[in-house]
Amino acid sequence: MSKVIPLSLETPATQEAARVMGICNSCRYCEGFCAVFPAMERRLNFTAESIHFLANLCHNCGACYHACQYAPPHAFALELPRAMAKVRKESYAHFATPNWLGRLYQQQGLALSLGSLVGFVVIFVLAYLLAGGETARLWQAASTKELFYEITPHNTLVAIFGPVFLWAVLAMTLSGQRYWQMLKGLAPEQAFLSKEASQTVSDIVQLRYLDGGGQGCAAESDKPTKQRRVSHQMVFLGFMLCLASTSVATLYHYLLDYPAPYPMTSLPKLLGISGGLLMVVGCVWLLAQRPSRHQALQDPTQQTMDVGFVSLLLVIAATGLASMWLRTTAAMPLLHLIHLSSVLSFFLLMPYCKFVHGLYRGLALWWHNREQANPSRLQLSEG
Amino acid sequence: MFDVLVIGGGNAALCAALAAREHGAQRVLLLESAPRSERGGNSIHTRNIRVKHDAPMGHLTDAYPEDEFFEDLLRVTAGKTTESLARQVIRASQDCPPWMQKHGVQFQACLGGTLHLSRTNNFFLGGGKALVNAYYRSAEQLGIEVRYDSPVDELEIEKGHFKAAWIAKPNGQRERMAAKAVVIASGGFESNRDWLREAWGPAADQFLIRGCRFNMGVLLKDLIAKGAQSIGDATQGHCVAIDARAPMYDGGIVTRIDCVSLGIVVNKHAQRFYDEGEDFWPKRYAIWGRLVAQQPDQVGYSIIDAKAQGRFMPPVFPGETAYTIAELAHKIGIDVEALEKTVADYNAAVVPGRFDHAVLDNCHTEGLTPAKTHWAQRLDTPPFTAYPLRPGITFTYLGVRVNDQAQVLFDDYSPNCFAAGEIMAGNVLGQGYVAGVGMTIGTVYGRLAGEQAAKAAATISANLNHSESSKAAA
Repeated sequence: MSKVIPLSLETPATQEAARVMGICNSCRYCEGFCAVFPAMERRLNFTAESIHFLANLCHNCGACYHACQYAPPHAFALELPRAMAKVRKESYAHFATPNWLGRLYQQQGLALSLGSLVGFVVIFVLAYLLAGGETARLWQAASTKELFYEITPHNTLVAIFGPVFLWAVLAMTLSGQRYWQMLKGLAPEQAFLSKEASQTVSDIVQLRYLDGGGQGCAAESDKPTKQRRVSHQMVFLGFMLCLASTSVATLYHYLLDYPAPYPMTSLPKLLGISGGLLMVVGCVWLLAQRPSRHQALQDPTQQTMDVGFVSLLLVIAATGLASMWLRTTAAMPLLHLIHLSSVLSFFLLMPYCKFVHGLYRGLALWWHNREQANPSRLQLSEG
Repeated sequence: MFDVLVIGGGNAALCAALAAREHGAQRVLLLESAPRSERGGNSIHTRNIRVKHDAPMGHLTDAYPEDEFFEDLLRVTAGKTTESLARQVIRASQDCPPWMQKHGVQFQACLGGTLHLSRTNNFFLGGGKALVNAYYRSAEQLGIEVRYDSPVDELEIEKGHFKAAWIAKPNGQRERMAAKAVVIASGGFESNRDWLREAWGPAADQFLIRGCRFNMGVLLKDLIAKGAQSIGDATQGHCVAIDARAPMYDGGIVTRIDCVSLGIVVNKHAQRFYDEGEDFWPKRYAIWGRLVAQQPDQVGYSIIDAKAQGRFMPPVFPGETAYTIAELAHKIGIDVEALEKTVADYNAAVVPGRFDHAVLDNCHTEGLTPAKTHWAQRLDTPPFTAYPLRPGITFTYLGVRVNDQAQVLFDDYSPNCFAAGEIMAGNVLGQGYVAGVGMTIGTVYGRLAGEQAAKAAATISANLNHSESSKAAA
C-alpha cells in the first residue's frame, strides 16, 4: 500500500486543518451545515489522510465561518473554509498523474492553458496548410458545410481529440484511484452498499452541501444566498449538455452515417446551444461573484487556478456559440479554431486544473455516504 | 428622540429591539459595547433554548410539560426562584421557536452526543453566533439602528423614570442619548475581575471567563446605585469546571472536560472532594465550577484510565498521559504518594457492577468518603490521563428585580425602564443551572421587555402630544 502514495501528505496546510478540526470536534455547533462535521465526529485524531478526505468534502459555502465563535479576532483564529481550501490545493497536486505535472500546473497554470490553446491552433493551421490548404480561406466567409471540414477534416479532429481525450480519462482515472486508495486506508472494513452511490449522485446533482445546511451559501457575508449554488449548477448542467451534444453527434456520425453540420432543430444543436448558453451565463455569474467573496473563504494562491478554470469554460462556451452564430462571416474559421483548441486545451489540462475538484469531492462524498451507512465506532456522549 | 433604546447586543437585547419594532416603536436604537466583530455577548457561545411543549414540535421529541420544566428548575435552584416569573417564562417559551424562525433563526436536530437534550432543548443551526447574525440581519431589515463600540456607562434616572443614557465613545467623549423607554440587556458582571474578587475573595483571581470580555456589570452597578432593587447573590452564577489551559475570555464550549463522571477528580493535594458520579454529567457540570473554586488554589484534576477513552466529548487540549499513577502525579505536579494512595483507596472501595454510562448504573464505592455513587470503575488500565480544571464563569446571577412586565423595581416598578437577559436572570435562577434556560429567559424577557417598552414609549408620546395640545389651547 505504501507505494500507492509516495510522498508524505503531512504539510503545514494539513497540520493547520487538523488543528482546526480538533477544536471543531470539541464544539460541533456546525454539525448541521454540511458533510464535513458528521464525518469529523467519527474521529478523534486527524491524520493527514483524514484531512485530505474532509477537505474535499468541504464545499466552501462559508456558513461555518460566519457562525464560528472561534473565528478571528478570537485567539483560536479558526478559518475552516480557508484551511480546507489550502489542503484541497495540495490534493489536486498530490494525487495528479503524473504528480509533477500537477505541481507544474499549480505554478504555471495560466501559461500552460494559454500555451496549449495557442499550440493547438498552430497544430490545426499547420495540419491544414500541410494538407495543401489555402491561407486565404482562413479569413474567408463561406457557407459552413465545406469550410468546417476543409479547415479541420474529420480525421484530423479524431486524430487529435482521441488521444487527448483518452489521456484525460486515463490520468484522471489513475488520480481517482490513488485518492480512493487513500480513502480506503481510513477505514478498511467499510462495506459497499449500492444505495450510497445513488445518494452520492443525488448529493452532486443537487449540490447539497453548497448550501449552509439549507439556507444558502454565506460567501459574501453571514447573509445566505443561493447564488453560488445556482450559478455553479448552471455551469455543471451546461457542461453536461454540451458533452451530451458531442456524444449524440458522434453517434450520428458513426452509427447513422449522418455527418455534421446538423440543422438548428436537431438534437446535437439543441443540446449544444442550451448547454452553451447555460455555461456562458453560469460562468459570468460565478466570476461576477468572486470579487465580493469573503476573504476567509479564499486562498489567494488559488485565484489564478480558479479564475482560469471558469474563464476557460467561458471561452469554450462563448466561442462555440459565436462560431455557430457567425458561421457565414469571415470570423468563423478563426473562432472555430479557437473553440476547438480551447476544448482540447481543457481536456489536456483537465487532470491538473480545478476540474478535478469534482473528481475528489465526488469520491469523498461517496466515501462519506459509505461511512455514514455504518454506525460510528465512537460512543461519545456528554454524560 | 428615540422611542426605545436597547442597551446590549446579545440575544435578549436583539429580541427586545425586534419586539419593540414589531409593537409599533418607530425609532429603535440598539447600543452594543463590543465592536462589530465581537458583537453578540455571551449569546455567541450558546447552542440551544429550553422549550416547554405538550407534543412533538419541530426537532423536539415527545412532550416537555410546564410542570416538568418547573420541577427541573426548582431542583437545580433548590427553590431559589420566583415561581410566578419562572412559570411565565416556561409558558411563553413555547411561542419562541416560531418567532425566532420568523427572524431567520434555524433549528437542527440535537448535536451528536446530546441525545439527553433531544426532548427538552431546541438547537440552533450553527449555534448562537448564527442566531445572533440572523437577528442582526432582521434588525437591519426592520430599520432598527445599531451602533457598535458604544458602551453605556451611566443612566439618567429620576425617581425610577428613565431619561437618557450616556455613551462612552472610543475617542473619550461622552454622548447623551435620550429615549422614551429603555431596555437594559447588558449582561452580568462576570468579566469584571474586581467585582468577582469582592464577591469571592482572592479565589476569583484564578477564575476563567467562559464568555466575552465586555460584561463588566457597569449598568447593573449603576442601576443598584440609583435605587433599583437587586436580587440574588454575587457569588452565584453559571460556573463550570473547565480546562485550566483555556484562554482567559471566550473559551466557550470547547474548554469543557466531560470525563469527570468516568473517573475521579482530585485537588492539588491529590484528595477527592465530591461524588463524581452523583448524577448524569449534563445535570452536574454546572456545580463543578463552584466545587473547584472551593479547593486550594482553585485547581482540580480529572483523572481517567484507558477504559474511558472514546466515551466522552473530545477536549480541545490533549490531557497529560502516563503509564503509571506515580508518573502521572509527577507530570501534573502533585504529590506522588498521596495520589497513589487516593487511587488505591478508591480502587479498593469500588464494588464491581454492570457499567452503563447511559443509566444511573450500580457501579459504586463502599466505605469511601466522599463516595462515588455511579459509574465507579477501578483506575487500572493504562495509559492514565489527567486534565487540569479551573472554575470557568459563564454568567453571574446577581441582578435587578423585575415584575412580570419586565419593569425594573425601584421604589416602585419603573414606567419606562425594563430589563432582560442576564441582568435579570437571577429573578428566575437563584442558583444552579439547567441547560438552555439562559436563552429561554433571555428570549422570553427580551421579547416581553421590547413589547412593554414600545407600549411605554407610545404612552409617553401620547402624553407629550396631549400636554402640547393643551399648552397650545392655553
